Amino acid sequence: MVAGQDRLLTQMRRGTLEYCVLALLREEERYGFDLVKALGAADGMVTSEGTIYPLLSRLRRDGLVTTTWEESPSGPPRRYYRLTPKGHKSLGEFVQEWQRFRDAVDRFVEGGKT
Amino acid sequence: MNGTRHREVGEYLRRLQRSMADLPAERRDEILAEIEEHIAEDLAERPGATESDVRNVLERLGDPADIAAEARERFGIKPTRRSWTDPAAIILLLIGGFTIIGWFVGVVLLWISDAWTTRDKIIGTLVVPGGLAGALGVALSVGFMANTVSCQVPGPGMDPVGSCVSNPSTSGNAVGAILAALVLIAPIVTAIYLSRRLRQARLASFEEGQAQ
Repeated sequence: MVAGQDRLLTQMRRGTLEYCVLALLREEERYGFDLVKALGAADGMVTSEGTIYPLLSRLRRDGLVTTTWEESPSGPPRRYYRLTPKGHKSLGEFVQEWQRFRDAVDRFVEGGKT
Repeated sequence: MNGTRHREVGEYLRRLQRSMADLPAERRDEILAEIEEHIAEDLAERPGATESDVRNVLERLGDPADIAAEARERFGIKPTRRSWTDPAAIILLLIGGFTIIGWFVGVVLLWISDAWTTRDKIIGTLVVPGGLAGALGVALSVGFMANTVSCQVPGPGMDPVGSCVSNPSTSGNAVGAILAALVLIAPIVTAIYLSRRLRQARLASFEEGQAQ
């Protein structure tokens, strides 16, 4: 890999991770461990699982998600994350911008194919 | 909680707590609690987890330092890599003068820091040059001068001559003592002032991060 490319990919991952988390919460609420597993299942999205938690903390402070404690079928209660209206709005805006951006980049990098 | 029964988990959480020492307590506690829950969940899925299972769980979580760095970045907190130099500057300015070079090192650390304004730095440098040691030197010479004024003339068993008669000794001594005390207190006041300014600067850089 060319020098600097590694860093760029890391930055892109960091920048979009936030919206992947919001997207995972769009349909249903999830608890931390569940979120981490879902993100970890996608190749190359998360390198170390623990780094999700600072992000979740930040999203909560920014009012994009809220948490509630719920009983778990096994073991101690779990902290569930849920999207707030502000979180929905933020995600919606990102999705639009992302699609435009992705299409524009695709047009160039895929060249004549499309 | 299940996970904390393992010695390695306890160590991991302690390391994480130390790495995040510079984060606001509320955020630090939240992240710590979440990661502790994560470990408990993960281990709950592996009944009879062995040492190597535990190690595997912790490895996938990542190095505590990386998690702390991520938290700092997410909350816009400046890394504290060089921050030990700020407290060191205050201490060296105060007592480094006793080794002479120590005070100069303190001045250098003071001026390369971005935690203080130029005005703070000027105060830190000039009040008092040499810190406590410098102040002690000044205080001693003030006391010495007051002394020489009062005891200028005495030869053994001789009559005191004019300069000593009109009681300048006691008033001179009193003024000298007050001056000496002020000079001695000054570097301590400066050190307290610089510490407070440092705390304000750190708070400000944290709030800046919050506003981003």
